Amino acid sequence: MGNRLDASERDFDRRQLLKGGIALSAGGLIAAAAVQSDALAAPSSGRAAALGSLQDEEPQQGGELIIGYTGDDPDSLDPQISAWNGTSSLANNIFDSLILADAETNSYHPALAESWEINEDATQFTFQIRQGVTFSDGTPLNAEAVKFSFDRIADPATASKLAASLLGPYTGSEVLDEYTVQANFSEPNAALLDSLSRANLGIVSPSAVQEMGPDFERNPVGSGYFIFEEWVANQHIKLVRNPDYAWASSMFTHDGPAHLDGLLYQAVPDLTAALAALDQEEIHVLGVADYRQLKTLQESERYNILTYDYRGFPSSYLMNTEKAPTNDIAVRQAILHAINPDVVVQISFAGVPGAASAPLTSKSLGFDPGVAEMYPYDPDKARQILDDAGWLVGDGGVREKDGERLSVIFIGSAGWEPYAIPVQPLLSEVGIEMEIRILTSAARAAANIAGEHNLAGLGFSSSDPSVLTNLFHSKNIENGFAWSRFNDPTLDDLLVAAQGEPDIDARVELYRQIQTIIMENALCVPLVEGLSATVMQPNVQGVTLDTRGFPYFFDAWMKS
Amino acid sequence: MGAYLARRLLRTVFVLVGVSVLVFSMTYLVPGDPVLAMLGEQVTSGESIENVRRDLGLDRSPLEQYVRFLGDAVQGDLGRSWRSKQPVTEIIMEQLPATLQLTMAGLGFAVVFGVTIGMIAGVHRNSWVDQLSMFIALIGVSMPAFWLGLLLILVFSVHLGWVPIVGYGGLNRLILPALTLGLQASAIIARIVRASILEELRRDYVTTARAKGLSESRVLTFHALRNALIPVVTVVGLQFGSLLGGAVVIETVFARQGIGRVAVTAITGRDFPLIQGIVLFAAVVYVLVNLGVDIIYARLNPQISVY
Repeated sequence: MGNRLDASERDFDRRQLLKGGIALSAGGLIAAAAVQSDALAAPSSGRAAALGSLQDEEPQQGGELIIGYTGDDPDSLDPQISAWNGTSSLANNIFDSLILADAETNSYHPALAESWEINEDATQFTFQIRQGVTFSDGTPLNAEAVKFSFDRIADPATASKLAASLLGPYTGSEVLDEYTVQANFSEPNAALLDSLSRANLGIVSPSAVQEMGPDFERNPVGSGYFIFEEWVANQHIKLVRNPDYAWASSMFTHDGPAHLDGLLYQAVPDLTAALAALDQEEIHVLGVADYRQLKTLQESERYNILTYDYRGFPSSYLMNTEKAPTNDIAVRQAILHAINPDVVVQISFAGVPGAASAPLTSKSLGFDPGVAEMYPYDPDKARQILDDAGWLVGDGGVREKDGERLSVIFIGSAGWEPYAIPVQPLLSEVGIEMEIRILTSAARAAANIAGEHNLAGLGFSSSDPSVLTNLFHSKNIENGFAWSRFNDPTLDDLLVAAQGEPDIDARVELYRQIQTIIMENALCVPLVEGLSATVMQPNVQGVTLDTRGFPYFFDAWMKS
Repeated sequence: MGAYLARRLLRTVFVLVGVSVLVFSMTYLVPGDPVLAMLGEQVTSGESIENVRRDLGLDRSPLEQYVRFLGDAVQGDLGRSWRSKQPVTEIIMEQLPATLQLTMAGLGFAVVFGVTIGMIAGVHRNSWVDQLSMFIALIGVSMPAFWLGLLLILVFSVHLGWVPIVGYGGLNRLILPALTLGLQASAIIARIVRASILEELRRDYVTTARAKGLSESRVLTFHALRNALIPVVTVVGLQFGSLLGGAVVIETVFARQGIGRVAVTAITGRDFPLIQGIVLFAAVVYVLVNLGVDIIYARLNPQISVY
């Protein structure tokens, strides 16, 4: 599967999101065959289901933690440029962010920014930068450095693949004094705090960038608790402890340098080989997003496993409101009632991830239980809706209306098969024929943008609900991800308003209304919420996850 | 010999030009817009797509692009990877030692194991030794490398704990990958050696040697084997190419660095310049190795020169 350096292999990076779910490697198939078929409750988010709690013990110093990563090497180690999950995960250790977000409580903590102020319409953010912080090359970190990073991200010449879109409609920064900086935006940007907590908006050393030019991508320099040492392509990436680190965020449990001597990210491209290496304790930590493998690991009870439930838009079908027959709202509503997401979760994913029921997953800010109950699995109701709309059962059990067969086309990229195949018989049950087309990701994006689908497979993880703008605002129909092609000014206005609303409660209410409109118009079929896991040897302690499921190794230590 | 060599070289040039055309047209044959693929599906505005297209020279005519591609390639400039922006030649050179080490070790294993088995089988024709050897060879040819690799990991690393699973460097990390890589080739070599030995043993000079009263082992090693190995040279040349290809799978399974890994990453990332560079490089190596084999062959067997 499309593995990355870290736990969440199917996450925020758009190119990966498009690929969607799980593609079992040949090795994966071998191991999967050994898995029991009984269901296992999806593990809860957050902290480890720790084997032998060592939480209260005094952390031990030293040791090199070996983290296996499957799949390809990163394209670049510069988080401001790369959209690779592995890079984001690694950058957590090398770069400091202005603020950090606690995945448990969805609250923000000061990091490089000691405090911040937001103006009324969320277009102006003023940060007080912590004093006495230096990059590992000795450059002082001040307001200028923060401005430099933001300017660099927004500069088209940087060709940022993710950070620029996270930063949003940035117009520039003003250095108010040596440690105060004000960032300005042309539109409300309430999601910025969340974005800032991500390593992609971490602060880079301006002098290192200027000296190294393009080489910075292979020699990143930040102010984080680990320092980049070397990258041997397709072999390993080595980080060593920053001995001078003394500016830890209050979100962590200690201050001063990290406990571990260093981190070694070891390439183990094949998942089966990686699992063997984990078994042989050649690696200490491995990110696993293959649900069947994960279940085996959970059942072995040999490891500490941190799970992370995806936030954002679950793996779903977007229903095309322009192409027949899904241009008929009755058909869309019938499809929603006819599909049982639990079936997909059980058949394809051994019951490990949660079934989705709303346009935001249940762990997301803005999830609304009322929205989640709008379309219970009810094939009889689906049949009724179709009968009432004039779609009557014809030859071979497929419904027809005015000579048109009720046949829908699903388009997804490789990895979407497990999300589509179990649905085919469910739809056929109520008289809807489903054709599954699996295309290469580029061809699929082209087909989806052109609106050739009735159902388009898409998941879009994001720790902020503003992801719904990408998926449902009509401005994203022609060159974005609004593949339900629904054009409604009310929905558009609400999406824009929610993006600029700084008050959390008011935002949640706006997103409730947004989701209600989405589901009333039956624009998508939520299927699988998704989760990723960080599997660790039992002697690895103190690892926490960020709001994207990437590990923080600052408090981590190894018990000898 | 001189004329043969000249003809052979000329043919090589034609093959290489053909390869370059094929490699170049790959960009056009693959469905999907390469520029969109490169932008990583971050659907940007039409204008920036056009900018990228212009920057990459993809807006020019195919012929113009090809001439530029070939001109640069001849000078060792294969362009820059779209993904990592490093020069393709640099990436290949960085990863080449690991792949060469693996390929040579695999080939060495294949030759030693293949020749030995083939010889034993040939000498003991139709005995149980022969049948067992050929049965093993059949299994060897039939086993897919990724499966064999995982099996070896399971046995030697997980159960016996003799060798580490991941990493590059050190002899103990080379054994399993080389074994996996070499087994299939060794099976093929074994069959060729057996057939060839059988043929040689029937020849007059062997009868003469035996009549002179030489011991059977002398007849075998100093007379029959030398001649029997001539076709093996050809096979080894051919196998070298498939071993390079086999590295793609082996390097992934055994977490080694190398050209194969780069190729996989390039293909999944639709990194066209890198894919083109690797394919071109592999083709050149293959063609040159076979050119070398033909030259050696001509020396080993002077009759070749007349053709």
